[in-house]
Amino acid sequence: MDSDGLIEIAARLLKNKEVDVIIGYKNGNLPYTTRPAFIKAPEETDELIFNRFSRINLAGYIKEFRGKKVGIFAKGCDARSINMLVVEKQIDRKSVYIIGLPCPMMLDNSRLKEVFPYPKEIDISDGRIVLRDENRTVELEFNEYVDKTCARCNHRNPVIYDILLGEPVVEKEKDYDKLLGGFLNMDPEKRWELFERELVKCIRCYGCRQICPTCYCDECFVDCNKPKWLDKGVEKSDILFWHIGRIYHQAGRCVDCGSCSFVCPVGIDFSPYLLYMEYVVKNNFNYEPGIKIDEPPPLQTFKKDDPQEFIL
Amino acid sequence: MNIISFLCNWCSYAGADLAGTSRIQYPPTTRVIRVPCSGRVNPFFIMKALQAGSDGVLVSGCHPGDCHYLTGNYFARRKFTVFKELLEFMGLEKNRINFSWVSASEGKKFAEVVKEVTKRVENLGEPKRFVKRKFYDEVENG
Repeated sequence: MDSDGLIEIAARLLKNKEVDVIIGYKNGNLPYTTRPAFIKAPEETDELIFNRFSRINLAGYIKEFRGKKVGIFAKGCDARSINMLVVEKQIDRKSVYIIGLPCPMMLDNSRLKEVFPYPKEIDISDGRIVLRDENRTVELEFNEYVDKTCARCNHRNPVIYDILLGEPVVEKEKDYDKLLGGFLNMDPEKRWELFERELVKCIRCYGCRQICPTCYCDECFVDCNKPKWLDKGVEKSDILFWHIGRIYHQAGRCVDCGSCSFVCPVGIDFSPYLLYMEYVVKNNFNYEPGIKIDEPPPLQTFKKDDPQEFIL
Repeated sequence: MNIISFLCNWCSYAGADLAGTSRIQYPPTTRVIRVPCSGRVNPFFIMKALQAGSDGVLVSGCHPGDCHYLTGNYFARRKFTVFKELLEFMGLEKNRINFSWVSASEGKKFAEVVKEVTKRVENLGEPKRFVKRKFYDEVENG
């Protein structure tokens, strides 16, 4: 969490020509936001920051710099995504220099915005958030404003890195029963209603696809017109087709970074479905995405005694 | 009633053929699409069938270990495990999509499978979730 250390390392890497570009975060132009920064010169590194609003997954940007050596900030989720990309042979591990950062847990900016829209000063220490401007001061409990995805995260430390900044944090187990129990106990009709109500909000901007590190196909099935899988437009069935397709493609690959839900302009929460994919893959094939670098993705391999109770 | 069946060329399709040549009676509810292997069946085929308003889908291939391409059905099995679980989690009816292994010598089993699937799909009633009504109406009204 030491921005100075980060800048120092970034500047050194660029100066020594160890990397061509550093992918990191810089301040956004709204409070509670950061945005991706692509730094190519040592003197520009002052812009780099890493704080509790460095929310989005940067791993997806590596593919924009093919053939170049990339240095990248990696929290737990970014590191798992990078790992996944290496496993799927999309990037070369040697061409990426990973600056590992144990994740301090990100804050939910949309909820903070509701409490205090434009603070002048944000102070986070000792489990409390203090927001200030000229007229008032608001003090909040840190744990209550942690992002939903980060609150359930079980791999906050980067699993793969070239240099680790800061001390590893204590991790906890993911409780799938608690996270999915509500859904699994519902009857199918109710679940479908819920699914439809949530997903029908979609305006098909494809932001979820663009931000996702594992969505790297040159031609997405939704853009493909031979065969044309689904129509353009906001017909309900087509929207659902797109999301079922996308979520199915994430099976055994999604590292649960929550970036898709984060960037969604209409606030769709994809997490139950992606989490369930993770759960299914873990249960049936004993595989966890992004943890091991030498294990093939679950749908690219098989075992002779895979479960098949559902087959007639 | 309209059940779309994706049958693999080497086992299930031959099995269906055997059921026919052996004059085994089974319900006339299914339309068969021949595919090279059950591993060829993209889950999107299934979604496309459901979207166009079919009452059910059956995917059938060789028994594990008997695949003409050696491993196609093993991959298919993993794909369908994930896909079926996902659709059920989202709330699609449990028996709308069905999978089976039918070998070329199992004409009788093929008839049984079609009977079973027809019964299952009949119990579910008309498909409502995920059907693209607009498309359907347009076709019907010219």
